[in-house]
Amino acid sequence: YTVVLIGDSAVGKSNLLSRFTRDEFSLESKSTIGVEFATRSISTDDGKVLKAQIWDTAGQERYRAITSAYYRGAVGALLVYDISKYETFSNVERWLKELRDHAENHIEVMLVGNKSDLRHLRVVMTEDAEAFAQENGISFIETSALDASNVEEAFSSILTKIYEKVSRKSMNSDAAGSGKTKPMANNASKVIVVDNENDDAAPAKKKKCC
Amino acid sequence: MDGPPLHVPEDAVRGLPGHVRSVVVVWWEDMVSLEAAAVVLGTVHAVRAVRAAEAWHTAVAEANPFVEHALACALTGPPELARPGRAAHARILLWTGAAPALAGARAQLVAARSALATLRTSASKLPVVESSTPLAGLAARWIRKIGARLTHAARVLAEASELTKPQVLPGDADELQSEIGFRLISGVPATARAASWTGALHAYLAHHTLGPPRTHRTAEYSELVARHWGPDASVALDETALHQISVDVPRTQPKVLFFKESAVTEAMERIGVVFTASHGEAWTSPVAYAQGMLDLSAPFLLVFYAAAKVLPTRGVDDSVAEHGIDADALDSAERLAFVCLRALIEALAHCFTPNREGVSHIVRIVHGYVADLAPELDAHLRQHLEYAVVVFRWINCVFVREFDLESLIRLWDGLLLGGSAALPGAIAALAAALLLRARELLLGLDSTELLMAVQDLASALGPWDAGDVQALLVEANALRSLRASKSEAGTP
Repeated sequence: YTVVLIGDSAVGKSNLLSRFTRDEFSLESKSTIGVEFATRSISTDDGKVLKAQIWDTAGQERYRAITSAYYRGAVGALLVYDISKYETFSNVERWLKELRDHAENHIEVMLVGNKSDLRHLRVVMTEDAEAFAQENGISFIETSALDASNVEEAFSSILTKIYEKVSRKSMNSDAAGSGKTKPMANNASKVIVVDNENDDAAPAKKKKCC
Repeated sequence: MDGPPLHVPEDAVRGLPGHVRSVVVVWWEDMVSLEAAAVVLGTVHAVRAVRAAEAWHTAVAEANPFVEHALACALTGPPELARPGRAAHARILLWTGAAPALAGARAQLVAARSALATLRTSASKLPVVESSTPLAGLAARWIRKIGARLTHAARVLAEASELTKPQVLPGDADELQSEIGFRLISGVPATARAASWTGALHAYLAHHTLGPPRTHRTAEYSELVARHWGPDASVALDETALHQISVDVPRTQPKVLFFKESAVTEAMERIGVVFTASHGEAWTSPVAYAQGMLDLSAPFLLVFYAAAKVLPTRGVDDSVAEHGIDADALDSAERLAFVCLRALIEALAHCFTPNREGVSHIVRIVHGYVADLAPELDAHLRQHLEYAVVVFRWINCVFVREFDLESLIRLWDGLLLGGSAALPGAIAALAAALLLRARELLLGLDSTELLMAVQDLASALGPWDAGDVQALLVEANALRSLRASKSEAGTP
């Protein structure tokens, strides 16, 4: 499964990724230039092994043209903000729009409030983020890449949701027998989503008129 | 035995400072023997020679006049030289401009040394002068003082003489250029690096940019700082950009002690803010701040700081740990770093536009090299990934993220000074050389492993010593000549 990490600069995307894939955290990390990649496999409750390919992206707006190309192949997105920087939370709406414009329609999105260890500096209330997530039909979790709390949960939860969604869909489409297969980018190990909900959907491309 | 002449010969005292002159005159008139007269003459000679040697030395040590000279020649230089010839000419002037000055300084130093020897000999033959007389005391003090100055002059000359490394230069401009390029690949002497980087970037811009020539003087930086920095800034940067720079500064070279110093992070932040706030103005960068630009400022700051402290770059962290940051050295490093960052970004401006056309262009050249020279590697790579994923950061940060700073500085020596070819082409050739080096490694990997490996390819091929970096530069140069000869053969 291909998952992207998006969100403002310096909210901790790269450290979330290194915590999840290598159990490492660094206060001396560098900014991400363009996109970076890491991978890890997890097991589901029913014994399936899910292999996640995770693309970490640059936060600066000027890199959007490059990074948005990677949304297209993704089945999941972790939209990260920093609980100690309000600006990074107010920008979440813009990031969601980015996803709507560039990603697959059925991408699984999870809002992630990172740096939960900075309790005394908190400016984004958990309830506010929860309410926002509910309004937008996305899931929500608070994490700390520094003390590792909820990092594992965040990734495995989104991966499990993707897994359930994909198996449900492929069952549906098997039953209907008329699904369209849509290859996602050219990477052999990415999953192929069978989509039978929207006949002429080409969500990866923006259409001016319908 | 003839007595000494009654009056001081005008020759002997010409050009001496007034107080020395009056001492000499008084002394001369008190002379009782030829030997004592010799002391005076020897002293006068020595003082004058040392002064001349020091003047030469100052000219040599301050390499900037040669940079300015090279720039002026690049802009106005001999019209009979074609553009690339003129660029080479400028670079050679920069590189060799110090040679005549050094030769002069050496000659003066030799003369001063022999004068000092004469002085010592004469002074030792001064039986008629009691050691307690003011004359003998004065002579002894002068000998000590002149001796110390000579030692100092000799040491600095030895350092500066590194500048004249390319001693024998062939006459033809193209030959000169390749000769210089070859020598630069084998490493720029640390003492000459600051001047030659600055000069080469400016000479490069003078030849590769369209439009009116710009000035590149560090003095303008003060004006820009006054206009764009701090609470009194008349043209302040918007919050988003300020915030972006402030979160990126501490993430630039975070493991190097020098870049953890608050004075250095402030200097870097000021460079970033002024750079961004002034972009688009008459003589500033055509593009706004993009992440990675601060990475490009780091080698400049370190190299120029080291130059100001007369230290090798690898000695900077120790010096900072022991003595802290030298504010004057940092100030001069900051100015030069700003000017050079601006020049480098300007040379790569197409790589920083919103759509990054320059990056795509370089990616196509890299792809072309690999497809031509290692089709199996090309097929393998394209099966699993896009070239842009591999080389984007290499290009965006001009390899800063790929190598340790010492190796990177050597790589930049070759990149910045290695001939008049366009910088994007030089970067493409280096990227291709790196991929070709990793051929065996990459062919053995597929999909996920391959994606992981290409993200840290230089480290996977490391550790890099000076010889490895030099070899990589030679390989990149070979690729470029190959491409040049191909395109020549391809055109009717």
